[in-house]
Amino acid sequence: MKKNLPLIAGITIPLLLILFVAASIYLPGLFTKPKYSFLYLSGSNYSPAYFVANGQLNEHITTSTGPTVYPPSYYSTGGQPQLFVYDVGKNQSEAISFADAQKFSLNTDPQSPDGFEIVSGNDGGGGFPFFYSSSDNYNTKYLKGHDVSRKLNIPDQGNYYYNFTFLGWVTNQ
Amino acid sequence: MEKHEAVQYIKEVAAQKILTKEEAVAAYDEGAGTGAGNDIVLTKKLGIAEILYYIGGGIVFLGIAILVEQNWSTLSFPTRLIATLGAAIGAYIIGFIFSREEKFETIGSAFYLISALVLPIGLYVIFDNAGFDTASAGVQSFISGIALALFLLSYVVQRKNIFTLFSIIFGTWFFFALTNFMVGSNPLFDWNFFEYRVLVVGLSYLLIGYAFSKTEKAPLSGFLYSFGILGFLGAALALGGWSPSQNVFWELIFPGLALATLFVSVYLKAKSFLTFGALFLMGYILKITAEYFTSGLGWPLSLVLAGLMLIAVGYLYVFLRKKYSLA
Repeated sequence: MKKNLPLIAGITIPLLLILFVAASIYLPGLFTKPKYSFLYLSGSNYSPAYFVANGQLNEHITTSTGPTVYPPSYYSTGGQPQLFVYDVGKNQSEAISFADAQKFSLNTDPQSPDGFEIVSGNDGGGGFPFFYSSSDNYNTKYLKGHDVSRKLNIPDQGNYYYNFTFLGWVTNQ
Repeated sequence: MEKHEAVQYIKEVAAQKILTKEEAVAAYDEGAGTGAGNDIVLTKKLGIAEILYYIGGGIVFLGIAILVEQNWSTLSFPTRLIATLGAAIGAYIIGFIFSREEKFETIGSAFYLISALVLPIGLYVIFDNAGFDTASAGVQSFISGIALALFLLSYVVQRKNIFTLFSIIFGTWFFFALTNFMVGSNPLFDWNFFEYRVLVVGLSYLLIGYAFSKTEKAPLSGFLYSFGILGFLGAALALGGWSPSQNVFWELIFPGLALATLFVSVYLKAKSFLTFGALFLMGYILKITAEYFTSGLGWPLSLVLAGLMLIAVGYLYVFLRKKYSLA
């Protein structure tokens, strides 16, 4: 046993790192639960343009005498913007109408009242020579706080600029 | 000597704790010409012929890879599979046949080399045909895991060092691919995570190399020591970062690690420790000089001090190498 100790240690150390990574990803999430759902917009926030004032969602419709000219990216993102409420308890998005979203009281701080924020994923890709491609990238959003990071189930629309616009934390739900 | 006399003698020396069980088994294997003790591949210095065998194996691999890559769109799936996985299986069988004869064992290992190199391509072909993204971390985990399992099994059955070597290589690949898969784009893990993994793999190589140094796998120790210390010190230096986002812990501890490497080289009689320890210590001196002392002392004076320290490290390298005969 003593003779084989370096060999056992040499094999065990990488395995321990794998266990440590698994534990640091999955364990904290069991004990730390985010409380606040949030409202977000998918697609171009051009017209109608949504904004939050005094904790409530508003809509601004551009009126113009001439023909409306949209940027080309407006069409590539599927046209009309869509509002979603993200339920952190169920970990899923639900489409919501403007009228229903107006009933929410919204906190627009980047950090939720319980200390979580929404961040983009790393464009990792490994390192030499262990590169890899990933469908997870900057478009992937995470809820991060208190040393916990939870991947959000937000459909990837392939365009990070129009994929996700945070509108506010729902504080009256 | 009669059989019962030999058995009785073994009992006596075992009772007196002169001979351990492992030593008795190793002596039996050596006498009977079985087991690891009989593996001549990677246990002796390679001659020109052996080197040519392995270069030939590498060229065969290149030929197969280029053939498949250049004709990817014109080759059908069965043809691709035969050219890659079929070639890997064929090379493995030929290697097995050759390695049964001691005089052809090195040629057999060259075929095992072809098999090990081509096998992942064959597995890539299968996953690609099944519609998976072959560059993803998940598929890489599967491919490296399958290759690791096959070569570990081969080692268990045949006890050849070539399988140990490829088990380590595929195991390293599996480790990185699996951790890439687990972490994905998780923002809790930044670029430093890759450096920590290299550090861990380097440390693992050093420990395994040390464990092998006292066995019939001693020739693998040189490979493990070299890559192990390169990975370990390289990762430790990189973890130090650069001002203003430096990591003070790693910057402070690094010279201790590099000096410890120099002194471990004496204990282990390993030149790779001495060489890489001295090179990394020199790199550290240049890094710290450029990072902190160019503005305060002025660039020319910093260069003078750094140069003197490099001379001191160089002298230490030559002194240790001569005094302890580290060839």
